[in-house]
Amino acid sequence: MLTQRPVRAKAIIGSLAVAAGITYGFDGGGPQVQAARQVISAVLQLLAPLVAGLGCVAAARAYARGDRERAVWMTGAWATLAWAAGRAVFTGHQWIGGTALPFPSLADGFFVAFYVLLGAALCMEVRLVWRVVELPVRRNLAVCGALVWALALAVVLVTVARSQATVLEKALAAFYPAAAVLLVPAGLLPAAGFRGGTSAYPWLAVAMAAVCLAAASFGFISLIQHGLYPVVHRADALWVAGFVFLAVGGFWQRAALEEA
Amino acid sequence: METLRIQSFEAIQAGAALFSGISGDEVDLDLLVAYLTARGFDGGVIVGDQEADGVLWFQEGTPREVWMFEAGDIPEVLLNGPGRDRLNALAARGGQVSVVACEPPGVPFEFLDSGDEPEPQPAVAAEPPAHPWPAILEQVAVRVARSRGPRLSAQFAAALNRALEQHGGGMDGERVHAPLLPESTWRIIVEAACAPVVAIAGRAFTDRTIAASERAVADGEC
Repeated sequence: MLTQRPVRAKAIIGSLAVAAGITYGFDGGGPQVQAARQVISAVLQLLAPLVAGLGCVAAARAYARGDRERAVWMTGAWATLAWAAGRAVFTGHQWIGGTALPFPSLADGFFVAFYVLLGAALCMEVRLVWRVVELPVRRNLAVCGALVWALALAVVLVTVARSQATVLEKALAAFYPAAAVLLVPAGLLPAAGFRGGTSAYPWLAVAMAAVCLAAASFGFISLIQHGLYPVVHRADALWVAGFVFLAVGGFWQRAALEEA
Repeated sequence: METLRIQSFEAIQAGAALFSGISGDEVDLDLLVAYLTARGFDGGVIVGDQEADGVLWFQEGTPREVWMFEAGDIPEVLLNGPGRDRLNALAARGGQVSVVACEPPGVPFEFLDSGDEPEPQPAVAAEPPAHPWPAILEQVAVRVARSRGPRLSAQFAAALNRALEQHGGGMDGERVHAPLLPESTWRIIVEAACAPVVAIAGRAFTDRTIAASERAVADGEC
């Protein structure tokens, strides 16, 4: 069982990555190919957060009840579930409601919940490892994080300020990338605290997930601000990549805990 | 004389305890006395709760007499036998047990039982440690570093040092050195040393690490 579990996790994540590569890796093709890509893209964007949730649950199950890191990974699992629900609603609006771009919509409630929950999970972890990380590392991460966040916010604000969007659209457009960028140093801090140990790598994967989600958010906002939002775009690969990294983090953490 | 006894008692209470504050219902007082006797212990075993305090004095490993401080300030001085029964009763109702090594009060006191015949020794001389804890804890430090990095391992080592210090042991580089200690004392040391690891990595990881370290030591992997 112990030897089968990592193999299964690798197979699931590998399949997801290969399917994403094929779906987003090329344009072209006739209308039927385009339609198939739309379906596969929608399924992938629903599956990816669910697999990430499985990874978070797998990590959480390696802890005892009352362990604080268990709460961190369980909150992460709830976050991915919120995103999956949001994606289901988003796709439902597109396919059943016939809305090409359901933004803003009920789905955004779930997407915001995702960032809030993932932020809460990372805050809990940062609080746990705070004393393990040396002061210069904490200071450098805080300074770099603040600079990148300010830069990202400035770029997003400049982009959305020129648009004719409503206040809610502008607020959401600014929130997504700004929140995702904030998660990067929050993921890097535990990695810095555990560096030299195997538990550093899952947190590097979580930080990479935040990088991908931030880039995907920028891509999404740029596309809709310029009226270029297609149903399938290469930038969507970044969403899938973000959740694949989150899944890798969860399953890797599980493996690291069982190695003890 | 009573004032001097009170001062002696206050001095031993303020002394550096080998261990302190262990709930009496978790300690086999007779076994503890047997262990201290076997070690030629000088000092006192203190048992106390909110209503009463008592101390059993040892002189070169021989339990001499018991001073009980109950209502009022005047201590009741008892022979080891009946005094021990009172301490056992105090421990059984949840009194806290501490052991302090010090010079037992000599002149101007003379122990009631200053006789030359030592008390007959029980068959079990001491509660031996059930695990090779120094080797296991060395392994735990290595495994915590491997999994969670050297910083958490350093916190573990610092906590282990603090816990062992009061027993005359410590961690020197990667080696743990400690005197012969009873299993119950080791349990307290292990719990205190692992506290920083439990706080971050959790109880399940810590228990798994201790179990894996124990297996590695038993298999001679280290």
